[in-house]
Amino acid sequence: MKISYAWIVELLQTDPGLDRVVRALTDGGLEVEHVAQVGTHLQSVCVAVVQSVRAHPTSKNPLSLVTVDLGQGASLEVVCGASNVPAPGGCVLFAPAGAHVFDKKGSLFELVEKPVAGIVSKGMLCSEIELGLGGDDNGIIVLDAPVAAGTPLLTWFSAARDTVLELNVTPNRPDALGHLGVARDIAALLDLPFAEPSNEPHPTREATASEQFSVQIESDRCPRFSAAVMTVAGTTRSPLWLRTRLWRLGVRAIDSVVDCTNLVMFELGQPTHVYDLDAIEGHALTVRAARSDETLQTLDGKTRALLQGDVVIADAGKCVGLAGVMGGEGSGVSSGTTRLLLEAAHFDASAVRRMAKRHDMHTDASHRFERGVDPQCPPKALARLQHWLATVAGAVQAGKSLDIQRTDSVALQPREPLVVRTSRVARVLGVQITPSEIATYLSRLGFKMLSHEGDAQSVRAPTHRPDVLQEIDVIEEIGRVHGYDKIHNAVLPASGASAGARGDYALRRATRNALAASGLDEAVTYSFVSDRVLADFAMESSVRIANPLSQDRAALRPSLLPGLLQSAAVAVRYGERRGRLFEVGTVFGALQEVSRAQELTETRANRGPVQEHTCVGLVMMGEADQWLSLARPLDLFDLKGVVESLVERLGRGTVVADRVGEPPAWAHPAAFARLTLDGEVLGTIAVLHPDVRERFEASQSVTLPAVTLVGELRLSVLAGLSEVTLKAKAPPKTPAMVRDVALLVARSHPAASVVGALREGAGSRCVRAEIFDRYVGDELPEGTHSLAISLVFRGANEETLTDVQVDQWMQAALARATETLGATQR
Amino acid sequence: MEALDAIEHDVDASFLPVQSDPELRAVYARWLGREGAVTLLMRRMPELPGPERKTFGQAINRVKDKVEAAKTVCEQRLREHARALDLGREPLDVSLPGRKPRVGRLHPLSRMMYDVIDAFVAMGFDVAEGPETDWETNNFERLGFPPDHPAMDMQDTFFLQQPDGATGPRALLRTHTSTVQVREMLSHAPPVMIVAPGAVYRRDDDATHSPMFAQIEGLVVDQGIALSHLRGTLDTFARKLFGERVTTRMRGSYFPFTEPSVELDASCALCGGSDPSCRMCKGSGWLEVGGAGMVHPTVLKNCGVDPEKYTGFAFGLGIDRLAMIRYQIPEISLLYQNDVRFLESL
Repeated sequence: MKISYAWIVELLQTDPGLDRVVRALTDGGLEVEHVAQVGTHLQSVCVAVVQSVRAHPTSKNPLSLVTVDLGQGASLEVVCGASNVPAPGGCVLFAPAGAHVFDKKGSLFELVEKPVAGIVSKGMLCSEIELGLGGDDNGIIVLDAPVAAGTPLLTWFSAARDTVLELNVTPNRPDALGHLGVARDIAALLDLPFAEPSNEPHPTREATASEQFSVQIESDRCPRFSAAVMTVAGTTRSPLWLRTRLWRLGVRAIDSVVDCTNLVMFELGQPTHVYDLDAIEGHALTVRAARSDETLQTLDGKTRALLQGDVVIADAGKCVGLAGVMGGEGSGVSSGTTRLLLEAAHFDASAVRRMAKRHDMHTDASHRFERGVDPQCPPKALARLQHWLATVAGAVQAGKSLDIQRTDSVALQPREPLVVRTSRVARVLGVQITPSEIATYLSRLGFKMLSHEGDAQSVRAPTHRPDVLQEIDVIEEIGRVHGYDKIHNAVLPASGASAGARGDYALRRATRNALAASGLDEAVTYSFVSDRVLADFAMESSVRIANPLSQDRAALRPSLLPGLLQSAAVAVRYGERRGRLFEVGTVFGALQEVSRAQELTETRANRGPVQEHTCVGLVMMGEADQWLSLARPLDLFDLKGVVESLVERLGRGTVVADRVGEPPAWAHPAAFARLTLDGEVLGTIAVLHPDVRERFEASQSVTLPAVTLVGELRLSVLAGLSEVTLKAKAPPKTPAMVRDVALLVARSHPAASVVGALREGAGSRCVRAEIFDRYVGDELPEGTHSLAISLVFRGANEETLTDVQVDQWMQAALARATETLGATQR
Repeated sequence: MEALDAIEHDVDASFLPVQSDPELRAVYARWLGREGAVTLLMRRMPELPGPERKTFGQAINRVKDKVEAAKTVCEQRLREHARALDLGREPLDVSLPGRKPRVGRLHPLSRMMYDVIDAFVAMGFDVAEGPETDWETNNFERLGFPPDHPAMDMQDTFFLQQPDGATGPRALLRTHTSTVQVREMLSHAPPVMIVAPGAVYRRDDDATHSPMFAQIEGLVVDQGIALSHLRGTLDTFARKLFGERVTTRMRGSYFPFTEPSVELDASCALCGGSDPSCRMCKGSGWLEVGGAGMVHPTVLKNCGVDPEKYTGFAFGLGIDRLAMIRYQIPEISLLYQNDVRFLESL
């Protein structure tokens, strides 16, 4: 919402100082987002009087050479392209070389002396657009009345310089959508006197028979409708001050009548409308529900099919406006209009909001109505519109004004008194405010103080503040006027309450830290994915967004992997050859329909409508990180190691990799592992399935590194791991004895079973057995490999082992491996 | 005896040409090895008559000591020589890269979020969480959003597809973490003192808005909680996060679920308001920390809390914006693209 500071000063009848006003508004809840000084570039522009005009001697374009008097004996010949140069004696506005004017795109540029079609012009005669005073670029500004040559523009027209404030008006403050309301708030916040402007009496006469009209309200969505007829000699161009005022507020001037309705809206915040009385069939307006087959051509030129629930203003034969949103084409004023039918009405906020949404029309009028205009404003706005039409357009009122009210309307009932307790004010704000301060603050805002008894004061909120409905709303007003900067910093009494709505925050955080420590970068991807990338992964989403921003973001992810691999692919497209990414995020299962009663039960259990799981996604691509040694492509054991160290960092547990069950579609069937943690399924790690890879590369236009490893884990399975379960062991006092052995064994036996057999055979003194090398080669029997395994023996308590003992246990271990797996020692 | 004298005479000289440990062992063996000259003489000792044997034995021992001493000297000489060689060898090219374990990084949003959470946890807050999908009941109704009110436009919502004819409350992606306020209050009676971090969603997509972003909600409900406590809490938080010199201001605002509603600004930690082209505060001197207010009595009532007995405050902070300010991130979408080259820069 743009606010003209000059207008505010006019309404306050005093200038409190720009900085004070900006600070007060911002602190008081009407944040000033931007302050723009306008018209400061007009310093050197002055009034020039035309002395003579001649055609440009050589130019083919319709240029003229205008000699102007600049006062004090100075005169100048300038080149001018406008077709409306007045006859000698006419007054125009002259910008000399060095002045700044606007180009057609709205940027300022400096005028320089340069030849125009061969003749040097030392300045220019300016249009509204060029001076930033209006939206008209169809010719230069010609003054209505004579002004002395050489008079500076800013002297003759001081409003040419102004400050425009951009206010962020929150939806609860419809009163601040007009200058009057903003001025009232400033006065209350800065403790300045405030009075609404009064209207000059305007000329009125009896209505003739053809000037009679009637208004009928049939819809309960329109509590109040004020109307009157005025006559004009025809619409005209508004005076420069009005055109400039509207321009500065972001609206282009149209004609004297429309400009006056906009002026009233920017002043009072109440939209009004003017019809051409002669275009209203039967001179009768009815506010009623739209009929199912009706259409309305709105002022923006579009024909709209009206819908059930729409409220229209209609004459005897047709609709002439969508209530509170936009008027109709054909019934509005045009240049030949002489008889005006003025409307200032109140429409129900939610009805207007629904209409504006349904028809996708967000107008200045609907913006205000849907926030709640003062229901008592229509007669006031009508009077103000009459005042301006009389002043600006020379309008004369014909007959009496109407003010039709639906007496049954809630909006028009006197507002219920509200009780505000001094003690409650202190409890909420944390600062003591006396009853008399409370009364003063509220009175300044237009509240009526009704009575005062002990702790309680009874107050009535003004009708322009529809947002004030309860005691707490009144307390906010008291706080605003008192000033939030007067509220001190109090130390919170620590209540130390544990959260009731719990999630897996701590586990997510620990998991992220652990994976980052293993050299993976964290990614955060959108929860929605495209169907296409899901199809690449042979996945389907079970829950979709009803109103997505685009079809690319319509499915809630059933897995982190598609989005995570898309993220990993971004840098690959730019030549990055390695990728190490993880994400800890939510994946979404099926949506469950619930009744209202079930919803509350589910909410209390801290569940939502969709089954959500936290997953860990893993992507590793390219070569292993090393230097000064042979480059080695990553393999699945790099990823397995990442999971193993994750488990070890979170606590202690045994990760077992096997190939049980059907692998997910994204997993290479020969290079995947199902991981279990202490018997519970943790997830899958795999080389990306070549089919998935091929589809993904095609759809994403990327070539992934030769090795692409992916994995996904369920975070909840890690929940049992905890530092708390760890037990310290005193360091052993006896040295360990180590024996290495190389075994030739069939590859069909998992390596883990070889280690298991050795440990079984070796007995209880064998505390560790680890594979430290694996060899596959042509000289070995077909289908076998050689595993080098290191066994560590340690005595219980302080028992010292002897070589002889350990050799015996080793023999037993080897015998077991031979017996159960056919392993032979190499 | 003459043989012994000759040996004694030759011992020292014999070690002089030695240049290595094997040579040293060979020379030593020449005298005291199994077939060494001294050893051979010693073996002949029993042949000598008694008195001579004693004298000879003493002489032998003297020679043996001499050999051992010469060996020690020689060893010392070899060690010193080797040390000199080692110290004088070609120096390392230390500019070659280190063998560094790869450093993985937490996402800037996580880092920002954890700093914020830690600041509040240090003040005694516990961490609460709720689901990212929720019903309109928790996202709007219980928070006192008036139906058909423009306040809804402040939060353009993603709704979830539901089967035709569904009659229950509509499911959506939560537009704010304020849903956790409701869930927390419904889960137990006051006192309540939580922060609730998480992902939230709005139908918005431009340089400063992302359809998914991160928020943290705060909620304190107890007897005797006032706006001054809110101010004190957020002031302490701002100083923890931005530095001790930072001051805060509170100004009026509007949120449907708080009354009074305020915005909290922190003074610019970078320029303190002195630089009109400051990249952090854009010259205003203030940074928006977040929206806040006293929990609306209607919200307390909707969540089963007696607003006459208890009061409370709530606040919400946008983590993306804080991260963008801290790390000077020009566009919010960079946070969700996860380009490794971007992630590694932070």
